Amino acid sequence: MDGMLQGVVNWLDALSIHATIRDAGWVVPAVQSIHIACVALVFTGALIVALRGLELAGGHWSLARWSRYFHGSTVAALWVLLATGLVMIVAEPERELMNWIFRTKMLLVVVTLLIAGALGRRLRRPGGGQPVNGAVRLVALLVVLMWIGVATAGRWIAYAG
Amino acid sequence: MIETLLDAVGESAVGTFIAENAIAFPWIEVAHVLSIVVVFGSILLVDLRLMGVAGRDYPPLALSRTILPITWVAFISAAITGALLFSSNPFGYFDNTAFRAKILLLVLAGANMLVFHLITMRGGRVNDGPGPLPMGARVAGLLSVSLWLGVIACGRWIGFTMAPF
Repeated sequence: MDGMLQGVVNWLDALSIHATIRDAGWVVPAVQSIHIACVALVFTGALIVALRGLELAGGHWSLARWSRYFHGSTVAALWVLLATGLVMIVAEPERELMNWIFRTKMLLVVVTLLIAGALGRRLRRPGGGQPVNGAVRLVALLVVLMWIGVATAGRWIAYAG
Repeated sequence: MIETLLDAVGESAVGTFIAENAIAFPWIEVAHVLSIVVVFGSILLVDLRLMGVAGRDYPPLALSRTILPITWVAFISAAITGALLFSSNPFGYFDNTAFRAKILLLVLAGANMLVFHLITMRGGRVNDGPGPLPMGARVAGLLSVSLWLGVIACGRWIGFTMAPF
């Protein structure tokens, strides 16, 4: 896998857009700022749904209503996260692709998306306004913890690998 | 005066520990970023309601009451972790333009919130029902989102304009 990814790194390093982004010092911090703002959208949605599941916040709406409320913004934010993440990879391919923490983060993102997607579908299905059982609430909490893991790995990319 | 204070912070046991320990700074930074993410995300929820962009059938005062405790917990966490990061290199941060801009934007965001809560809301102009809110509330929401986006951007720029310690 290292050999294959090293090939991708070499290819990205040779692209003119890589040099353009690297030479314009403002691009990476600007893209990272947008990335963090989108993390806020995704993470807050997961957090409020989990807290509503535990009946700690948002009592005026059902869990299903909150899930529907955050669905659109979460999906949009995830696409922007993908786009900004790709820009960061093009800017610093070696730092990202050859870093085991980055790879762990990507694996965690995929698993979290699968679980969060299944949870969202369960909450938004017809009749989802009914009270949900403890297992669903637990999964909502698990999704929050997994997003914390993703964000933690994201910050650690800068320090280790 | 300020130099004595910064020197004391930098020479403190906490400041020295964070500056010298290999993993303290990154872990505190992780907690700081997570805290800021929750501060911004939760405030955005209230701001979008104030602006009338989303959640218009949620009573605004009830939304504020249920979300702001989350914001405050996250803000206190962000302030503590931010102070710890600062203690690792007080002179570096104090002299950094992005850091100064971040603090200024934080003060402005606080002032905007105070004006909204003490004047706009207490003036009885915010009806706690569904539907759009008065112009003062919408402007407060827009200002708040803009200022907090600025805080995030300045925070990121600090990392690109100075070595952590």
